[in-house]
Amino acid sequence: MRLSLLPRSCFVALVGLLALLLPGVARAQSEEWGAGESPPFLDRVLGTGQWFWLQGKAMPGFELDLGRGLFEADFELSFIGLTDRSRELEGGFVGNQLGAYLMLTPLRERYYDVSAGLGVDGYFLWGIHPDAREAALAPRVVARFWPLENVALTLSARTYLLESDGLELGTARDGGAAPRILLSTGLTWRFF
Amino acid sequence: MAALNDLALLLGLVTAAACTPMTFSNEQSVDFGAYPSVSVEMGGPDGSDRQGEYLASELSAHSGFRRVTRDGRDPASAFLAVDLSVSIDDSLLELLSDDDDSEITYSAAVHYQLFAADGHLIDSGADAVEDEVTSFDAAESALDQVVLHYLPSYRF
Repeated sequence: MRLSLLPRSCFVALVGLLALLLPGVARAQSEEWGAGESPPFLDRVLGTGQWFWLQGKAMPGFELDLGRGLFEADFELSFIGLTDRSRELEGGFVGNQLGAYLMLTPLRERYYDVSAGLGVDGYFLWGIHPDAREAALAPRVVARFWPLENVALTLSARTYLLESDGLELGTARDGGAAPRILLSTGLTWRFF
Repeated sequence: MAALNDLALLLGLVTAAACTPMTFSNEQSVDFGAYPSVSVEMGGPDGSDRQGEYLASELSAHSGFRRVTRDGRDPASAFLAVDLSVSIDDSLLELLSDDDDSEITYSAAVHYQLFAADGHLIDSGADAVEDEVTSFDAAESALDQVVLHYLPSYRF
């Protein structure tokens, strides 16, 4: 099945959500709650700059996490480029990854927290064709270590349970196999 | 602070050692070596010159065909016949209702057949899109699906 799993409206909605949430949350907080207070529907908002560890590709990205109690909604936007020259892709820009995850955070202490959840990774391969897309259903685990009150080192791992035909995690270009686990590390800032 | 440095170093080492391959790939739907050029003809109830030009332009930019022409007299190794139809998604009753919030959206369908120069059918397919804001968007989105079908092979 050639992917057309993600309709264009889903992509627009995800980008819109990412674009609206950060300034919206900040504005809402500054206007409606005093300093040090959090909005009633969220008890934490985290932003992460992260790097996915891929062979032959550079994949930096951002993540926005909105949490309350045990639950957390995580949204990712990453940029994918080739680190090796390819005659198949001039310029080396592959496209974007958009991720949306529903996470549970059973462990949340002063110096660390651990979340696990399920979500979708969508790959929008603008570098190939505006309508070329791939997608995967992914369980994901995230561990954050908080040496400072508002700054954490973040490690995440995910695998793909289901993926579209043109996406192969754990398979090299030459067909070689490797563990199907995608790791990322990042630096997280707690807005509140 | 030393513990923090150790932790950062450990995380870096673990992840750097665990770089995972991830491959994006596509299998081409026709043998572009055998059919390097194509002549495009747009038909169907909504196939216009403008849509034909759009399709030829997009195929030139993205497909595996090395040469794309709209001139039927220009010899090509393959001939692509595309039928395009565009329709309004909502029923007439909905459109005539007083509900100002209802938006008109459009659907489009394409059916395409690729023939060799000797006339035998090489490849065929159909696709459709819906919920587009304008009829032009619907037509071009449907034609984009044809282009997507004729992308060259890639693996990276």
